Amino acid sequence: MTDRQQLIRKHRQGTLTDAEYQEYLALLRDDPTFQEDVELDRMLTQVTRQDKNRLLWEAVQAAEADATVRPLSGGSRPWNTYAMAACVAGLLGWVTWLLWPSITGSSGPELVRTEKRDVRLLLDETTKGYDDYGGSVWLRWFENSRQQEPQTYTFCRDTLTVYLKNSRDTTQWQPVQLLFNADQRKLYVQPPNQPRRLLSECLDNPQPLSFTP
Amino acid sequence: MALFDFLSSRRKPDIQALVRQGRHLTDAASIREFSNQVRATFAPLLDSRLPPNNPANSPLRTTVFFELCGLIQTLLEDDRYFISHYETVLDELITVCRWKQQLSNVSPEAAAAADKSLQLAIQKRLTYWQNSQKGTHHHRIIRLLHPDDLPIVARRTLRAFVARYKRQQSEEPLFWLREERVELCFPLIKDYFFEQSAFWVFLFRGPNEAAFIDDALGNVRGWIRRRVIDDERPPEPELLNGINDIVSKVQFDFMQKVEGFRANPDSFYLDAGLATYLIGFVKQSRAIWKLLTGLYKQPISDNEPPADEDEAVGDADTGNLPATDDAADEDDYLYAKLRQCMASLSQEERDIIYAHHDHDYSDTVPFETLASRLKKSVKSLEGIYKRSLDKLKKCARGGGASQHQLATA
Repeated sequence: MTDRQQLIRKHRQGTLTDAEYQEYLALLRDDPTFQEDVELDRMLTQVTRQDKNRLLWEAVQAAEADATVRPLSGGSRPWNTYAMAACVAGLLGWVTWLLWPSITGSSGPELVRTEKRDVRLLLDETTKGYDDYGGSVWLRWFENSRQQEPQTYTFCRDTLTVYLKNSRDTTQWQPVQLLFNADQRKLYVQPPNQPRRLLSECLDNPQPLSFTP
Repeated sequence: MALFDFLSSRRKPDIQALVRQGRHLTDAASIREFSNQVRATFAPLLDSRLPPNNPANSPLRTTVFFELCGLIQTLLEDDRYFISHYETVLDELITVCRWKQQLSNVSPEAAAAADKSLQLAIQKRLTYWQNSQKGTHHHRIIRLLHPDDLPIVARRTLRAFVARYKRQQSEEPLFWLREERVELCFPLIKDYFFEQSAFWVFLFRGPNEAAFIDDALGNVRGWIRRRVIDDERPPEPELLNGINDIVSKVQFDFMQKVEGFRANPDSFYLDAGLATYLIGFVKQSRAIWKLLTGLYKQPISDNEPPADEDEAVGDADTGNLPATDDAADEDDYLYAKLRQCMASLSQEERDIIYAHHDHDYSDTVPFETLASRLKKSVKSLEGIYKRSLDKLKKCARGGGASQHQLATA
């Protein structure tokens, strides 16, 4: 690789020293062929990237479309095969009709967003003045329009999952603080100007969260 | 429960195999196979987050699968976090994909404010560069930033990137996984990261650190040359003087405006590369029109198009870039022309170019790495690559300023 190509490559990576950068700029100013090399390098990077992205985008779209519509295939079969298939399909249809909401999860929980949020340590008189950073937990909001409560939660393995009847309520969670009692290993949520609530850990069903965000 | 352990291990997707597959995508067939595997592996998990029976989720699901493919391809060799925490990563990816989907409908400012985690990731990277002992130009510049500057530069970097993304026409995976978090792929934001840092340092921390302006002016000079110089004939001295005059004038105008930016930095956002911004000045100047039409030897008269330079620059003052759509169209035209030229190369030459440039959505792959894969010596690869570049340059020149270039200028 020539020195000029090295300069272009290092410039693209952002690894030129001050002296090399001055050399690069002088060439860019005074040497039209160097400028042409720089431009070609930039364009090649763009074109190769765009081409691969296009192939990937088309492949992903095709895979999604295939998953949505799966065509029936196969050659000719005896009539009793079709009759059997029709019976099975009918039976499946009936079962599906009965269980449809639980199978599809229609209007079931849907992930709205997730963020990693810092936890503050609950400090007492003996620890006051120390840094109160207590680590972080994942906070996930799901919208579940089927639930009765405006807000429920599960908390397990450092992940707090909040189920909201209305997804717009996620914005009201911004001022809510997460507090950790290190002695008792308990996590609390504290909405502004409201008492803190203890979170139960790893229960089977989502629990109501008794504050309106 | 031990009796049924094999059931749970069967259900667990083989992420490692997927990661290995993502490193060897060489053609359309392998990309297709890879995307099918990603879909098959993650569809059940994604269904539990974004139910497929809700039609409104369909575009978002496609975007998530697309980004997931990009993220897996750009995983570091030694990354184990994704394999053990793929559910958490998917949740994070869905969140940023929602952000990506809304980009076309909101301003760069609103988009930058809408996701704090992406901005924080840029800020963290600035801190990392500040703490690094490396002796590069950009490390030194970033070390000049004060702690209070970091969130500002991070926000401006994100804004500039969003503005660029909104202008482009093609789909592109934006995210990768680094330090156990999903963030914007650094190679995509790198140019803005360096330029916004340098711009802020130049405004407030080191007024002599103006190398980034020379860098942009070099590109402006190249842009003018490509439009006005016919490769068949050596340029006349008056033409070269005309080019230098325009570059000097653009530099002078920009430096004058810098004083205004210093006084009120919130009034100005560089929502593009500086070169693109300065080319916007050139496009609206009378002098470039004279160079393009060969009238540069005559004095400028009052009734010639386009409008007065100072008026044109006035538009740019607010941070609204002049003629940015033209810039995107023009890039598309140049890329199409380059693709035509690449079609005239041999398959081997094309393969080496594709393998060298952006093989895994990050930086170029060194020839030393490619040598064993392509079963050729480094010298041989470099020779073929250089020969290909010469052919492309000759083809791309194609006889001086075209009608399209005249029109877009």
